[in-house]
Amino acid sequence: MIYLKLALKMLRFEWRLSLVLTAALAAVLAPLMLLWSLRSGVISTLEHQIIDNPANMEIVIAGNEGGRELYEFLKNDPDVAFVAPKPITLNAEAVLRSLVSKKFHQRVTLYPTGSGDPLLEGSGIAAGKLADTELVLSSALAKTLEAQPGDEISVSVTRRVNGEAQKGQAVFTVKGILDPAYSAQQCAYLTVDTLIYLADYKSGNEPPIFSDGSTKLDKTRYFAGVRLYAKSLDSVLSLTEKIHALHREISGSKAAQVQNLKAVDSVLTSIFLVLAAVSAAGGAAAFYGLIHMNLHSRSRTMAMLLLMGMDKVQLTLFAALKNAICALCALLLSWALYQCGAVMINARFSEVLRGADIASLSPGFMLLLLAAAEFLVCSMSVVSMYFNYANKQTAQLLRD
Amino acid sequence: MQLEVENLVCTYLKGPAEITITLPRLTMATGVPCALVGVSGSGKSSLLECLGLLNHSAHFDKYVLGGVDLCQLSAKERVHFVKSRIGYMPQRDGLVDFLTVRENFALQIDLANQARAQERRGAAAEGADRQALVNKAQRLTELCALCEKLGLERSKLDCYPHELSIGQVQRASFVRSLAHCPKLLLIDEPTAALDPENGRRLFAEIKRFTAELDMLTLTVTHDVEHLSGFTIYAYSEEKSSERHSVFVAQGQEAGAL
Repeated sequence: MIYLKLALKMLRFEWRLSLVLTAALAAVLAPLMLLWSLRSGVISTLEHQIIDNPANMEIVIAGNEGGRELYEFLKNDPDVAFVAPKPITLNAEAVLRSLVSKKFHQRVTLYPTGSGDPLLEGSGIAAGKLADTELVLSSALAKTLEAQPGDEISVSVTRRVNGEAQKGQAVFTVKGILDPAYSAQQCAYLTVDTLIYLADYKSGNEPPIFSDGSTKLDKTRYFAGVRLYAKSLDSVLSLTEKIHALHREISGSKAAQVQNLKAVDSVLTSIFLVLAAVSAAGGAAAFYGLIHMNLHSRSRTMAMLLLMGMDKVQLTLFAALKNAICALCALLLSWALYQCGAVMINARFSEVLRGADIASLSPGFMLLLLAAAEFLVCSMSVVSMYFNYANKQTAQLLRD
Repeated sequence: MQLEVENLVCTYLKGPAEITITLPRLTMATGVPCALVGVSGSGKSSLLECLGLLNHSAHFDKYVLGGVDLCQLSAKERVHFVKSRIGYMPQRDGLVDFLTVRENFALQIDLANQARAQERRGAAAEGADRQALVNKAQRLTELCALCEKLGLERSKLDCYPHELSIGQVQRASFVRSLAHCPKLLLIDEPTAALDPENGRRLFAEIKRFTAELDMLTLTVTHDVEHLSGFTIYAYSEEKSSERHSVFVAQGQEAGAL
């Protein structure tokens, strides 16, 4: 406590010099903070442009075979946010007609959904609670059918049995409408079981929906593929690799964009590290010079403190503490300067980025910067004290 | 309280200019102030620094203060012993510049108390008289009164050294050096920057302290007119040579002054 009080008193006494030390350190820290915040802001903006839309996490696997194995392989994978078995694509099409507006649409694509479906969850619809007689419409289809949640929709499918055309029909309730950003297709989302019944009906059987349920069915025989969503950007890459390892082709994913993003991140990080290293080296040299000269010019003070009972370790602690306080003030000053810079930059780019902040810093980075600055300053103080005073006796210092 | 030093030898300056200083014997006892006198450059201040253990090149055959033989203590024990029992007033600027006079006094007390506390915790100075902690508030009041006696007004106690005259700094420095109630007070030319009247007052206070308190004082000075009642150790021209200064008790050698 004595040393802290002494350090504060000395800083106050030589406030002009303290201000110079603080400003010198802030001159290095503030640009570094701004630079890092730009790097983080750019990457984070690009990341958000992808992950803000859960549809971008979808991985579309090509082919209509091996759906059962694929589903078994993926359903417990930690990189998977959602996977649902998908019946044969051609079978999963139907005519939808609104019983309220009487509007209809031919060849509506039907997708399986279930608990954890990111598109439905992102639209505020509890996918897990969807009943077999409920469906969710894409925004485009809802517009075509002029449908609202709660409306009744008839779903019709046709088949040929022994050369005779037959039509199966069931009435569904609209549970919700998908966020328009998630899909531009004329499509609807139903439970996996409902889609299997549909496929079963088209195959000539009699499932409980679309027919009377008089035949038993093997659900898994209709699994042609999966509807798959990754948990994160890294999961997109990881799942892509795993699926390629199964010798399956991917017909659609954001893996390329994710890889581009990672490349941009790597380039920006390298640029930052080089600039940070150059500026930190120059700043550190200048700051060491200031600390060294300050401590050197204080030989009389140090002599008096030794004379009054401090030892050299305590003296070093005192000097390091004093400079550490300077470093803390410098970080606060840098933070203030950074905030000014960040406000200007964010204002300049707000229109382009639709309100997103391009300059932003995490508390973790601030803590890391504080720790690095304090470590550097304390080390410099120790080194400077060593070179200035380690080999000098009190008597010698009193005479200097 | 007594100080006994035997065969103190120290060197300063290196190479061909090296000078050796010898003090064959120094004995001080409570009640009688001592002074160290001699021509300029004879090594009085160096000798004082050695006695304050500020110069580690010094060698002693014996250094016993208050019954504790410093030669028998470990380096760490010696440091604590010196911090708590020895006060030192340098020739000039005897205050920490970024503290006010009062804060200087307080720091001196705090640091000595810290050393005493450490000394009490350790096995240091086992069997020796362990110094009691100084009551800071009470001591500061006493020191303020002493400052007034020395002509340093109360208002000056809250000034920084650079706001005082050289003489005022010198007096404040003197008070600072005895703030922690040392057993041995080493004073280096205290009147160098004082007018005759203030010089006389300061010497009177040194004599009073030595007489009234359980404290030994050794003063380096050229002001021999103030030294009545002092035991004097003087530079011996007879025993000294160009590169070797010898100090002896006055009376042991005629014409030492």
